[in-house]
Amino acid sequence: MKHIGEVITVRSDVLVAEGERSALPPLGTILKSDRGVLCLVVSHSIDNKIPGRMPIAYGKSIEQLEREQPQVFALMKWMFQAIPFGTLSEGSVELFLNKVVEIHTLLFETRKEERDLIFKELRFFDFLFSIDKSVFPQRDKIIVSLINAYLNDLLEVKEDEYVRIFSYISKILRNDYQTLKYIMDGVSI
Amino acid sequence: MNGSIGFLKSGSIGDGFLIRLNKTVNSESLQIGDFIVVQGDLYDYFGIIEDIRIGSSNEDVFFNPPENKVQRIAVKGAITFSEVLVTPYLMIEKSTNRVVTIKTIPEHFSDARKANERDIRIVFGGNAEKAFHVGSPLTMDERIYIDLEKLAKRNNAIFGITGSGKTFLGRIIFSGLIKHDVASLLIFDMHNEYGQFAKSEKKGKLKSLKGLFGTKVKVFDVSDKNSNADDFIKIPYGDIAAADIAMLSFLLSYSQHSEETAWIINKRFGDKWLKHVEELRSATEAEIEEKAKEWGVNSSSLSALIRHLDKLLSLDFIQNIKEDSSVQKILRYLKNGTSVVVQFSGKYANNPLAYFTVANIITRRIHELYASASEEERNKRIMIVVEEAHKLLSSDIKDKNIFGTIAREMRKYNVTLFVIDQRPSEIDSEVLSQVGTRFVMQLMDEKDMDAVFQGVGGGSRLKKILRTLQPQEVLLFGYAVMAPVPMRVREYNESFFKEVSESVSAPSAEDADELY
Repeated sequence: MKHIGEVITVRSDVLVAEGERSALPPLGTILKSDRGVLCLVVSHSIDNKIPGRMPIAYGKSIEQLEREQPQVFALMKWMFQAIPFGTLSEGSVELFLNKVVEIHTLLFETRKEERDLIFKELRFFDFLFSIDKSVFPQRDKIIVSLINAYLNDLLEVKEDEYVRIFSYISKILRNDYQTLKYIMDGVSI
Repeated sequence: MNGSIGFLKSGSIGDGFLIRLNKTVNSESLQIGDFIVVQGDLYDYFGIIEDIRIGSSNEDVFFNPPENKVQRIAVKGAITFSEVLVTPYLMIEKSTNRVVTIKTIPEHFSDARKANERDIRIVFGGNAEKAFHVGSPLTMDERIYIDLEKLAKRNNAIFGITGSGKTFLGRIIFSGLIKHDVASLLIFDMHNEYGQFAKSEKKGKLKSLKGLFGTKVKVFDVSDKNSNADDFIKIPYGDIAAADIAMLSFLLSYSQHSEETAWIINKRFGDKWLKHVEELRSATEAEIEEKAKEWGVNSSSLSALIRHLDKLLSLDFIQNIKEDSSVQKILRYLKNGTSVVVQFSGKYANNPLAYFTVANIITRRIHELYASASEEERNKRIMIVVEEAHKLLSSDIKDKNIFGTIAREMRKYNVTLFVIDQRPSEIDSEVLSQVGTRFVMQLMDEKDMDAVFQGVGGGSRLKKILRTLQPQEVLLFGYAVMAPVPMRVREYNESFFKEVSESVSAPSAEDADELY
């Protein structure tokens, strides 16, 4: 299986991974490492490969620039940030990070069955709402897209699953109804 | 746990238990008056839902409410919630099933569930020797029993507006008392519902007490037109005292002066006083003045007294006779365990003067005879049933008639009152406080509702239940039941007739002959 990214920076609570141009995982994607570490994509960034190099404005469309100045893109790297939240092993999910993520760890897409396992663990939503919204302002949109993606993959009893998930989220957000309502409204069944 | 509706959130013995409902429980599946059991470690706590409420943990929800049913369900439990307030009454010890009144409370988060058939059996299941099935919980079919022995030991009352089912319930209770031979009933039957037949709400006639129990019930009537009567009421002038007349002042437009005049004449002539007054009905003014001088009373007061007594003396069953009154016969029946229904047929149907005159005089005589009898002679308990009781037991006249005395004092003589009334607020509060068991049916007037709960712990809570009652439903509380119970009165039908008619031990014909 082709990897989605490679970890190039490890901080205490977030990984920075490099991916490929045009193939960065969407926000809200759940990835796994070859050692089973699970992480959630929370932001994207593009930076120079050469430290200190400052891009300049060319005034051309992307397509034109690709044709005329391809080195501009060759000198860039496409990155994403992901927050690790647990591990996956032998068909079960542990929502606790008990493994160190090594530098250069490769990150892969998770399968539907694996995501189903994660969503079965309601404490996963505790993790989601523990993400600091002031650091990652897209948090709530990420959660909406994550739940939408999960429910869209379900073949049946979507309402029951919606109620199960939001009953739990309602407890987490009992003092923040506006956020709860925003997320509920964003999820369609 | 299975059957859990929620958990104990907070509460106290005095304020009740607040149960937070599980999100899967629809608040509409519970009703005021439902029985709830909160499961502690050592006891099951038996109580009644007194209030149901909905609330929210975050008021923001009302500025942007959930848009559809799925969202509403999703936020239920955390943002919105339903709670029931349960008044605890009893504790059922888990190891023994022993039932005791509430003395402690269970821990937080104790499971709550609807009471099941087993709980109802333990609490209302009729373990007493003379238990009698009177109804069922409002939302269950399990039977609720009352302890007839306890019932008969104190005064009792059925309260309810017209059409609430008072008579219907009364017949059921009286059937139990007669069947189990707990007390001899003396029923003053204002609307002729407790004798041979009763009017059916649907059509035709239903068996009533005489129809069900045969010789265990005797029917007396003030009118000799009643072919179903066993005997007829005749009241000699001599049986009527000034005190009896005073009690009827509200019907005779009787003044204070007339009352005093009657007392003086009664004192002077003893049991012949009424005859002397009656003889003056056709007298001239001058003759009355002369008699007034002779008797030492005011002549205009005497004239007024004669005028006021005219209505009373026009009652056919009050006669200038010397023979023993019906009272002695009635008392003998009662002492023998035979119940007596006094009816008012023909022109005396719905005649308050006839009713209250007979009820008062007969009851007073029985009181005199029973109070002066030896303990052995009054070993048979007598229960006197009186309708429209507020007219006899109001604060104004309770001291002037015998019913107030019986209500207060006669329990020690084995005589109790069973009051049937629609205006409890007009009954004297001291008398009301002596009512041991109350069967409260629909009431509309706030004053009446307040009156029935006067002196009752948690009365304001029970009032909430009372407001929800429908016809044929009753809130039963007091001495004869372990906990207040809202219930549907059982059906008064063929199966009831069959049940109560079985093993009726009527006095044998020989016994009856010997006695009467």
